[in-house]
Amino acid sequence: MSIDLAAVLHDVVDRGRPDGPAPVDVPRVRAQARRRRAVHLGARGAVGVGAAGAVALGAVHLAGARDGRTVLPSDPDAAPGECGSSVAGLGRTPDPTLGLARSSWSAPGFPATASGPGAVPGPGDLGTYVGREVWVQAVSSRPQDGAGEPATELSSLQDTLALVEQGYTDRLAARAAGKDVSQDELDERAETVAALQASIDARVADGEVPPATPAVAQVRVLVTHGERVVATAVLPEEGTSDAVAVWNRATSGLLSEQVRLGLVTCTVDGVGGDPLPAGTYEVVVARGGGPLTSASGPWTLTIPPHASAASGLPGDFPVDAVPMPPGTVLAVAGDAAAGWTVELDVAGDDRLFVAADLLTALDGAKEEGRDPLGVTVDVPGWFVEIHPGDEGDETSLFYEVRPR
Amino acid sequence: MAAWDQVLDDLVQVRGHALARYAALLTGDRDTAEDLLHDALVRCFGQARPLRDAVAAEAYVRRAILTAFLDGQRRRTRWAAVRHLVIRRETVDGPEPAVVERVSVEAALGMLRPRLRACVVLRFYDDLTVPEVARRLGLAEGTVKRYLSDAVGQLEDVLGPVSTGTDRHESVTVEEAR
Repeated sequence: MSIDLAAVLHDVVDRGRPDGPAPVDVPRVRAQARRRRAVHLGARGAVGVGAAGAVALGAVHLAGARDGRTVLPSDPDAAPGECGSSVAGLGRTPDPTLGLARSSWSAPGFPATASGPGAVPGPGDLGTYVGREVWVQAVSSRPQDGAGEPATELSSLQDTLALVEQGYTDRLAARAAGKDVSQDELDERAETVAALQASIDARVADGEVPPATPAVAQVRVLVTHGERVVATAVLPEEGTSDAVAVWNRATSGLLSEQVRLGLVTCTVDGVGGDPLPAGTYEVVVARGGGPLTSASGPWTLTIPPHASAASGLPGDFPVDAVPMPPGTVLAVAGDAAAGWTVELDVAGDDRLFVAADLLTALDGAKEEGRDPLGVTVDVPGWFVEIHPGDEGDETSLFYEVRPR
Repeated sequence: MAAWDQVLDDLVQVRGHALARYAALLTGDRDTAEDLLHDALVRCFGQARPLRDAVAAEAYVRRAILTAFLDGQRRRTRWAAVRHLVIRRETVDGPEPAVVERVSVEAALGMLRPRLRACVVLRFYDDLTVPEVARRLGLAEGTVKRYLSDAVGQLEDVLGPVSTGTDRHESVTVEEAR
């Protein structure tokens, strides 16, 4: 007698006995889903936590070759830490209270460093990136920054509320400026604000006391090559509201904040803005905006050689409607009627979001979902899903392209 | 209560245990499966446009479970660490034959590599065709056929003869590949 595999599996799943209480904590699922929705709404506000839009700009230009002849900035008269300055005399040692780590905003799937137990991340590899911008995490454990107290559900709710309120305000301002902002969108944001506020009020009424709001810390991140500063970023970014600029408190008690780092040359005498050439760079981080005497680091960051545009796609593949980042086509199957599956080899930890940004930059494109597990985008005529490779093929992107 | 709240409640109440058992087919243990289900629900209902269609919701959540499972396998080898603890129910005192089959198949599934397990679940529970399994997992059809062939072979080593159904048999080409 043989076992009918399909019948047994259906029996296992669908006719199993009731197993007591619900398998998940529904209120907790609902609260986390609501929070996640709130963050979605906040992130899409004009505040622009901004990853999507900002990276999109970089990705649009991705097809432009990184020019190996780019002249890196050099300014012998620049003060230490300024663009083109020498870092030869700068103390560069790890600061146990300030560090850098990869960010899941640019390296999908990379765990949030600050959320785990342990200390500030020390010098190491920040990854390989093909986009013109990269997000990295700055992490602080310094009490003066407000570090030390662990995040709580209440503090997290308050942080989320601040972001969503800012997003709501910005959308109101956008509508007043003539932008297309629907009343439904505003109403939904208002409902979210009210729901978050109610949750906070209830917890406060129960006697919960949140940790103090962290400080808006000032930090400089310097990308160096050959002992010269070739690219820089600062926190807080100019024009950023406090709601966005305040660092995030983790349950570990560490604070973290995302740093948007342009992988383009900084400007000396009006010259700059060119993509950094392929190579390995050193990255250091320092506190404050004054004269620089020392910095924490160095970390390393790699920009791979420019790849040629993907070739080997079928003649009827919609290359204009479904642009792909430069890379190598490993496998392709399908046709225009049924759609295609494509496996593409693309270097870079940021390959998923770079690929997604190429699609969302198209006129008429609509992003349906984006997280480290994959991206779904509606582009004119096609429905596209992209997900990163697994089981060791860490440079693969898998595309599913279906007619709409 | 918002529409998506209601869909979430209904889904968990009516199909929550089935979804957890589905996840357990992939993970091999119930605790991890419930974590996976939790994450999948948050992901599906935490979108800016969460699910409002109860009929579609279960399929979306199953898909999210699979995606989260595969992604998790990429980053950790948790299953490898606990597998020996899970494969323990091959002898059961006096249950009904159907229960024996169920427990044995669950245990045998647990011995498969995660990718093979995913192929088996998609093929024989979700009733997807080989090309559909290939698309869902981002694999070539030939790879899926080979995985299914290997999986069925390994299951038969433990369970004895396994019927994969006549219609499935041809498209899976288990016999041809072995």
